[in-house]
This record gives sequence, structure tokens and C-alpha cells, in this order.
Amino acid sequence: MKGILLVTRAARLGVKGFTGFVLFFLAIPLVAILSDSFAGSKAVILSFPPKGFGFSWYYTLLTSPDFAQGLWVSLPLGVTASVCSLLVALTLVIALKRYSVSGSDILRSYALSPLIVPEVVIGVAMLQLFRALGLFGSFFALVLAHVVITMPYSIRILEATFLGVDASLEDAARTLGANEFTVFRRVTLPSIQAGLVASFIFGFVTSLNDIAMTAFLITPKVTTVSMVIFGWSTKLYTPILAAASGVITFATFLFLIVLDRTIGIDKATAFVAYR
Amino acid sequence: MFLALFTVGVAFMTLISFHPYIPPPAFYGTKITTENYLSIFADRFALFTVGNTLILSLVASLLTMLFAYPIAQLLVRPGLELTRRLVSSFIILLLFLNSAVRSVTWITILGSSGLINSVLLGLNIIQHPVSLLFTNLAVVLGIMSSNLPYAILMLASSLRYVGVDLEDAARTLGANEFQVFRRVTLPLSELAVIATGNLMFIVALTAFVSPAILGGGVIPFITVNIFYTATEALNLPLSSAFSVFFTILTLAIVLIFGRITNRFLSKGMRMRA
Amino acid sequence: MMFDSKVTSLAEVSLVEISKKFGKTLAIDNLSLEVKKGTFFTLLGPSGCGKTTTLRIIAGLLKPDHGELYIKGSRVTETATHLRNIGMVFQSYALFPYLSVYDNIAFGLRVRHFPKDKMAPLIEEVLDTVNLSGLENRLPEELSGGQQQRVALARAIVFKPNVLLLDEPLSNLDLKVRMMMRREIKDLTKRLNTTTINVTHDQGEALSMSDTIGVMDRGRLIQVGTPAEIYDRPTNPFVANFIGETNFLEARIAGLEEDFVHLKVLDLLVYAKRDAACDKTRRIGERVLLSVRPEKITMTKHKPEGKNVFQGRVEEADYFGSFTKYAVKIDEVRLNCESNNGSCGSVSRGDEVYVCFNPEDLFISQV
Repeated sequence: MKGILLVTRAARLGVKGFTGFVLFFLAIPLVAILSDSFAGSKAVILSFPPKGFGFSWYYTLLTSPDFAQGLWVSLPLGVTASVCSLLVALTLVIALKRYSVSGSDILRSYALSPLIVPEVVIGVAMLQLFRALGLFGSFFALVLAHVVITMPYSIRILEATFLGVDASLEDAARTLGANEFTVFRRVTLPSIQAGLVASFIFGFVTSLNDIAMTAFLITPKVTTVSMVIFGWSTKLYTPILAAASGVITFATFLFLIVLDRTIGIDKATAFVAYR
Repeated sequence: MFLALFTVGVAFMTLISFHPYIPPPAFYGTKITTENYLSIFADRFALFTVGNTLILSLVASLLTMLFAYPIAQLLVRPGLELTRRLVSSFIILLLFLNSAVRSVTWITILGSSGLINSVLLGLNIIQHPVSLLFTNLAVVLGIMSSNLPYAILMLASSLRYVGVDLEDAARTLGANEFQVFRRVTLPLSELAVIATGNLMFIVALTAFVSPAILGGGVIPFITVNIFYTATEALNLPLSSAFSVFFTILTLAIVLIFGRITNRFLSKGMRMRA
Repeated sequence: MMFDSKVTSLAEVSLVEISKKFGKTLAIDNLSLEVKKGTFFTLLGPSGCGKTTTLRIIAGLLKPDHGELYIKGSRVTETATHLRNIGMVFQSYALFPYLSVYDNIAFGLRVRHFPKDKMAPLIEEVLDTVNLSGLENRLPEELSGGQQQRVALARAIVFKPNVLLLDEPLSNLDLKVRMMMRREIKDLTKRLNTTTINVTHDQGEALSMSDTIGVMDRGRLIQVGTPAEIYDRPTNPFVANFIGETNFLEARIAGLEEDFVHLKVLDLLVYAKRDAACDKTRRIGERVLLSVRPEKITMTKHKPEGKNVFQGRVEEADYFGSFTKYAVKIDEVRLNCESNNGSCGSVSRGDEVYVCFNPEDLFISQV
């Protein structure tokens, strides 16, 4: 009896230890690079422990023309792509909801199909298409491509939002005398408010973070923040990367807080986690 | 409308893959040929790339599942409210963090001035710094840390509905802690683990950022290969062909895995799937 | 093995001064009870009264903060669940979805390393007992609610536990199935002579199935007794009010005789039997609460003989098919009573009637 108890205790400890190790595994790279972002200006290469101390690398980052250029493109790109994808997804979801035709299932799968194809492949396809159409390297092309990427997520989020909405609210409004447009404006939209915000935020972040596909579509003139960082990470190993990581981590943290305030973190993660 | 764009893009690419290569500004010739596809299968390096990608993805996904399971369980157990919220928030932060940043963090660990080297040099285990970057190990670690947040959250959401009730029931029936784990916890996790594992393999296979940054063009990986072929060699037909091949490969794997897991799962769990 | 003088030899399960806190809330407050061997004991009370917590402590899924627990004379307060030899049926049944009916039932035997050759006949026997023979190979999701419940029962009793614990097992079933299962469970436990502890908020269930009922409220055990005792002789307004329906009247003691208590309800003079069990030392002038059950009040058109006869007017009459509920106003006092729609002829609103009730059917408690 004692023997079994001892083994159980050892096993329990082992599992706890392993869990701790995994958490450590997840945390340490982030901690390392964040600490390195405060390296002194003499540090030439990413290192741990960091050499020296200072905020100089943040300064270098924020005054870097590449970085600024990336932001100049990324922010409008994110907003535009996100809004477009939101609108298209909204019309699609409402149409699917209202008119359940036999083809609607197929249409839905089709609309979600970009998720199945590897992003790199989408990148190659878009690259060739845009070249043929003469659109390669334009902001417009980037928007189009990013809408393709973000739309499936918008669709999923909006679908789930509509599920949570009480259908009888719309009916009640109709009996009270509201026409379709008014119903949409005064009942439907407010009900799905949270979903709309979530969809926008999601689309925005997805667009901003996208690398695999965007890598094929950028030019030295038109490039995104993520691509700037990606470019640095394959050629340059100074702590500017650490500073960039720091800035992005902080931005992500802020974004999460916003997301939590609007629709709650748990719901948000469900959208990402479910395939 | 955008779907049309997508479809046209894919169709067009498939079309191109059947055309021969010509240097820019034309990019592709006009006659129809299968030479691009043939060159993939003829080229030993291309085949090696495919093989290496599959192996690395497999290793990475297995390790990911192994690491994700205890954390997922941690997130699902009742009690330890504060710990759970902290860990959960951290995982979510990682989830939304830019993939380039996530990969770059490993440079600080694996690089010649990084954590590992500092520790090993400090303890006098090695005399000269050894860079662990641009190795298969680096790519595996990169893919793992990118995928772990997904795996953990997916597992946690599947395990949540398992019900601590069943474990309690087993205890009242006379099962000690080992038996509870072996006869209840494990079988119930089966479906969640297999489904998540499948997905993690596909995600690993189609990963781009980690292999590119941490493999640095040295470690063969399909996605990286396609990238360089299209943007540096500017060989659009070849990259298209490889892309088409890659897509079909991925879809095939998804289907095969689906079949295999169905056969594997015990009947009761299969009906739940 | 610790022997405690507070534990009687007939008790199969004994709780001695058990307390449990969750955070700041006191879920169970100094609770002591005994369950005799072979009896069916029900813990009855509203949601949140602590009855499920008590059951889980008996099962070992929760540890009490204070107090001791004895099963079959041995102290098991610290013993792990799997060593207590209890069987438990959960509200959700908790059947293992990946195991067949047979394997679910065999679980308890397998973890005890029961000899394989002896398992099959035992399982067949218990399946027969719960009327599920032939369904060995089915999976839980292929069964109806009632069938799942019977599998849960079979699983819990096959290894002959010391105590059978039931955690609101009938609450997820349809009405008809529930009624049927009440009887089946009662018969089963009687036949096997299993000591059973049931937890429910359904008083009908408690009254019809149990040998003994323990009424709980907010972590405390208020009264323990047979169903008849609990119903007819509640020692406490909570019990009187929780079980069945009752009329509460504020009264003042006007006089004391050897056998009777005279009470004044407003201007009405009421006689109550002076019963040692439900009345302590009373003083004249004392304010008390009188209660009498509606079905104990008889209504007649003509004045009957006897004590406690009052004239009043029918204010409400609600038809319920086999009986009717009435509200009768006597001066300023309002009484609810019931009447079988067979015997007493029709009485409707506005009618003048006489109500009458026996002095023994009155219950006196503190205000």
C-alpha cells in the first residue's frame, strides 16, 4: 500500500514539474527578447543576457524609415481590408441565414475554402494573378488579397454572433410596425454589435500579422510592418528586432484588452481554436 | 466576388504551372508542358525537401501535443482560479502575437550569443559558442512554440466537456488515482488529442514564418522553397507547380488522417466526433 | 479502528458534528445523523441547503472541515473514496460513454481485480434485476434516460457496496418514468437490503420512498423522522411549510388545561391537543404560531358537533380535477382547505359553510 502511495506522489510531482517546464518553455523566449530590447546601444547582436542597458533601440526602431513606411501601409491596409471583409461577410451570412437553399451549404464551404489552402499557395496564386493584371505592387492588390484571407474569419464570427441573437426580436419589431430596413437598423445591427466589433478587430489583427501570403506581394515601396520585421529577421540580428518585438507585444496586449472588453476573451479564442 | 478573385487566382496559378519558365518580364512561355511537375519529381533536392518537411512536421506536432496536454488539463480542472486565468491570458497573448515575433524570440535563445550559449559557456561545458540557429532543431522548436497556443486552447475546449463527474464516478466505483487516469481520463481525451494532433500536423506542414526565419534558407522546407522560387528565382511556373503539388499533398494527408483516426477510435468516441 | 461512544451499533453510516465551509459560506453546520443498516434514508431540502455537499462528504469526494464520519463502525473521515466501498448514482448518471453497458457495470469489479470468470454471471444477474437483460452491448447514448439510470444503478450495486448513495437521480427524467423509477428503486433496495442514502428536493419522492427523512435547511438538519412523523408532526415551521401545504395562524395562549391548550386567534377560540412531542412549557398570554393542514379541515353546509367549529364564507374555489382547493373567510381569518370532489357535494364561491378541524391536527410552534 505504501509503495503505491509513493509512486503516485512521485508521478503527481513529475506531472506538475513537466507542466511547469512547459510554461517555462513558453515564457522564456519572450522574456529573453523583451529584456534584450533594453540592451545598450553598443550591443550589435541579439544576446542573452543583454549587453548594457538603454532605450536606444526603441529610439532606433521608431525613427527607422522602413518601420515607419511599414506602418504607413499596414494601418490603412488593416482597416480597409477588415471593413470590406466585414461587409461582404455580413451580407453573405444574412443571405445564408434567410434563404436556406440547397446550394447554401456548398456556398458556405466555398466561402470558407481559403482556410484549407496553405497561405503560401494563396500567395503564389495572387502573385501571378496580379502580375498578369498589372496590379502587382499596388495597395489595391494588397487589400484584395487581405480580404480573401480575413473573410473566412469574419464569416465564422458573424455566424456565431447571429446564433446568439434572439430571432423573435426581429419578429416582434415587425409586428410593431417596422419595415425591413428599420428592423435591420434598429434591431439586427445593435444585437450583433459585439460580433461586428470582434470581426473588425480580428480582421485588423490578421491583416497586420499576415506574413505567409503578404510575403509574395510586397515590393520595396509597398510593404507592411510584419514584412519589415520579417525582412530584418532574415538578414539583420541587432536588438532592433527585440525592440520591434517589444512594441508588437505591447500592442497585442492592448488589443487583447479591447477584445476582452467588447466580446470577452473566451469567445474570441473559440473562433480561432475551432476549425 | 472576392471568392471569384480567389478562385480565379488559384485556377490561374494551376494554369501557369503547366507552362514553361521564361525569364522576366514575360515570366512564362506559351506552350503547355508538364516539365515543371516532372522536374519536381526528378530533382533529388525537391524530394528531400518534401521528406524533410514531413519529418520535421511530424516531430514538431508530436512534441506539441505532448507539451500541450498537461497545460490543457491545467486549464480545465476546477479550482486554482487565479493560476488558470493567468496561464489562460498568457496563452491567448501568445496566440495573437505576430508569428515573426514568436520566431524571432528563439534567436535570443539559440543564437551564438543567446541564452543557451551563455549558460553552456558560463558552466564551461563548451569552449566556443555554437549557434543552434538554422538547424532542424531550431525549426522544430519554432514550429512548436508557434503551434502550442493553438493546441492548448483546442485541447482545453474539447476536454472541458469531459466532465469531472466521470472521474468522481470512477473513484466511487473503487478506482485509485492511477486507474482513474488510465480508464477514464485518457480514453476521454482520446478524441480531443487525435483531432488536435491531426490539425497540428497540418499547421506545422504549412508553416512558413518559423522555418523561414529559424531555418534561414538552409533547412529545406516546402513553403520556404516555394517562396524563394517565386520571389528570388522568379520562376513562377515552377513555384506554381510546387504549390499545386503541395496543396494536393496537404489535402491528401487530411483525408488519409481522417480515415485512419476513424478506424482507430473506439466506437463510443467515434459517434461523438 | 476507532470506536466512538456516540456511534450506535445499529448505525451503518454515522456523521458526527460535520462542518464544511466554502470560502466564507458555511455549507454544513455541525451536522450529526445516523442511518440504520438496511434502511432508506432521504436528505430533503431546498436547493443550496447542503444536502448534496453532505452526500459528497459521505462519498469522500469532499473532506469535512470538522467532524467525523463512520461507515460500518470504522472511522473513514480521512479515507480515500475508492476505499470506502460505496456505490453512487450521480444526477447526470456519469456513465462512461466509450464503454458498453456491460463494461460500465464491470468497471467497479475490474478495478477491484475481481476474478474474471465470476464477473459475467454477476453482471447478468444485476442486469436482470434492473430489467435490462439483453442490452449488454449497447452504448450509453443508445439508451433512453430511464435505461441509463438503471445502468447507473446496476453499476453502483453490482459489487455489493456498504452504502448506496443517490444524488437526485430522478430529476432528469420525465414524470411518468420518474414515478416508475421511484417504485423500482424502492423495491430494489428493499430486496437487496442495501443501506441507501438519497438526496432530493422533491418531497413527494422523499415521502413515498423513504424509511427515514432528514429535512435540511441552510446547512442544518432540522428534523429527522419517518415520513408520517415529518408530515403530521413537524417540529418546526420550516418543515411544516416545506412539506405539503399548511395554514399558519397567529395565536395567543388563552388558557391551559391538562389535555388541551386554549388559543385565541383574533376573536376565535381554538382548542389544540396538548401533545408532549410538539409543545414545550407554555404560558398564558404567550404568542405562538398555529398551523393546520388544509386537508385536515372539513367543510360542511350544516353545523357539525364538536370543538373548533367555525362559520365562514367561501372566497375562492380552484378546481383541480380530483379535488378542489378552497379559501374560506372566517371573520378576518382566512383558511385554505381542500375537498375531494366526490364526497362533499359542490360548494361554490359565496357559499356559507362550516369548517371544522380536530384539536390533534393542530401544531403549535414559536413565532
